[in-house]
Amino acid sequence: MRDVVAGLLSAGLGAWIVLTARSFPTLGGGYQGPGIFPQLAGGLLALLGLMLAAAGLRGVRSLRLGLPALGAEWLQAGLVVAAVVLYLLAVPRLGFVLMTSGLLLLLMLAQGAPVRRGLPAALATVAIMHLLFVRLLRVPLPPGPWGW
Amino acid sequence: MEAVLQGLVLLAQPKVLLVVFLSAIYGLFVGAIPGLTATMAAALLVPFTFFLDPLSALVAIITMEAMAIFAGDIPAALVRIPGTPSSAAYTEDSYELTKQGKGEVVLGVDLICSAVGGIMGAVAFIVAAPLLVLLALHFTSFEYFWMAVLGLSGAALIASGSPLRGAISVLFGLLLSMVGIDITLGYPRFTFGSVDLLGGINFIPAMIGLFGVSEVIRQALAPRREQALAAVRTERVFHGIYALLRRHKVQVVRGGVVGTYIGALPGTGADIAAWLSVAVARRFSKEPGKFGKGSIEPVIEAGTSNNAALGAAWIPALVFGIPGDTITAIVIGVLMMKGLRPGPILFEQQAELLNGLRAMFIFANVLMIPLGLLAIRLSSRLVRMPRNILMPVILAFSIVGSYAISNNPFDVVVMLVMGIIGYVMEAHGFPLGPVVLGLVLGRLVEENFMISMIKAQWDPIAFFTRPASLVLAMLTLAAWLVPLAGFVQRKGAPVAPPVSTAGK
Repeated sequence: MRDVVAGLLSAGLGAWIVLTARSFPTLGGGYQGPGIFPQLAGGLLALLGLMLAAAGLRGVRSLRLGLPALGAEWLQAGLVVAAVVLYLLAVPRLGFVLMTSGLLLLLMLAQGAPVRRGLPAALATVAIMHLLFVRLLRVPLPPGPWGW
Repeated sequence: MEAVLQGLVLLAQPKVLLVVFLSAIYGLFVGAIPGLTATMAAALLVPFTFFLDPLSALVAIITMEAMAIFAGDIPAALVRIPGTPSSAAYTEDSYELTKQGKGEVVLGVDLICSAVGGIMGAVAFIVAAPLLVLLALHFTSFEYFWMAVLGLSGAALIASGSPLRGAISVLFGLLLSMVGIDITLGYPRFTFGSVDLLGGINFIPAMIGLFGVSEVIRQALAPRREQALAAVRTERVFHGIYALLRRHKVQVVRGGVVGTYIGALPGTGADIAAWLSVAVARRFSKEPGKFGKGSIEPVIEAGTSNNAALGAAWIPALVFGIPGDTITAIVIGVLMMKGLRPGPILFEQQAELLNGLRAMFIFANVLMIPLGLLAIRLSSRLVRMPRNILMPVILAFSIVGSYAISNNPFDVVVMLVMGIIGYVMEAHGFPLGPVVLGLVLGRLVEENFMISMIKAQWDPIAFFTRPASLVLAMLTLAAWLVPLAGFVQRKGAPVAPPVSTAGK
């Protein structure tokens, strides 16, 4: 059943690409333009998606999608995503050092690491990052409210 | 030969040596930890290489990949979990041998075979690349187009999962590369009015997301359980190794040759080479029944093969700009970012750089022996590294690495989105390697397609008239006919169950 969904999604994406690419300008004189390659690739994708869906239909035993039940693990995964988003939003204000240490510590503790391991690991990682990026490679990383 | 020596001189700068040393440690570390692949390691390494000079950048990748592919065999032998997918083909035998108390023999012979294989691949590169450059000088846009398509096809067909899924992955990667300003008219495609998307989807954060962040998400959803560790007496690692190697010298040579050949083929890399070598070893073995129960033969043959494939993969990558495997796809991206286009011009204008690379291929494999020995000694601690410390660190490096490329938060968004997409794709059996290939080669394919079409005045027959084009086109079509015939014959029944590996 999942194959069917995956196949239909791919086919849908392919179809959408083809439809969008049709409106791209052409070189004039009947010659194609930027639209032709997306149409080719999108069309092929749509075809393959349908093939996948068709192949999936043969093995369908039930209409259930077979997604795993929502448990604590999904929370962990969600936390990972949320942490990245939070990082993006807060880093201009709080700076690289604070935010990265915070992110590391938060995720390590959330995944069950004891503080006595998590804290030194987080600080060591930030120190190494600082050394590698700012010192060795001279890449500017966002400074925090106190300049570092 | 003197090219290698000249290259060694280039490598002797302290900065380069530091890079080599750090990359080697990094590669051993990543290889020895199950769940971290060499491709992911390369993806995370790229932000650093971005700021290095071309020689240091490429040298870092060469060293890292050589170490990682060897180090992947360590957890395979100790806890029956391959550290990188290319070790999966002989994990069973390594582990069984270790249980029989021969762990140090396995690791010792594997170390030497990896180094030997790596050198064989390196020699292939040194010898074959200049010869192929002569061929490449005659290539026009038609040939490059078919070569790129052949490479993409190879990756799609042979990646894990069914060829159908592989093809969908490749197309997805190709379509991603079409976001942004197009090559022909400068028309913004699929940008939805976003200024950031006008520049296209930067392949570095996309790749970091696909391989790095998706693994972090995967680990969060399915934490690995602690495994019982088999004991290894490291003082006896090289005990009796000469006799063993002499007895199995055929396997070593055969593994190296097969590995070099597979690596040099566009799109197929170390993991394919390893699987094929195990099959070949079984076919020619005097004791095929022992395979899977603790035979040293697949370890020797495939251990040589996967390292040989690494060096050979650089042949099509540097000569034609067509990646021999996922890591060289990343290398091509890195080269293009530094304004160095693969191809005959690179060999002509950057002879020094290439000498440095040739020397590095040899040096990395020589260096592997002492450093690999160190890794074997530290193996138990490496393999048991706690995930809840490691994964946040990887995430942090992913974020900072993606951001550091152009100081643009949008790249981090790309990383996250690709990470989620990558997780979902792999969970449904879609291989990720072809996506990267599609993303990296997309511009090249389209550019050559459009140039060819314009040259031929939009007559598609021109794609088949030149002799070299015809040969490449026929190869591509033949490659696709096999699975297509299989599909029709089975009347569309599903082919392979979803396999979760990220390439190597």
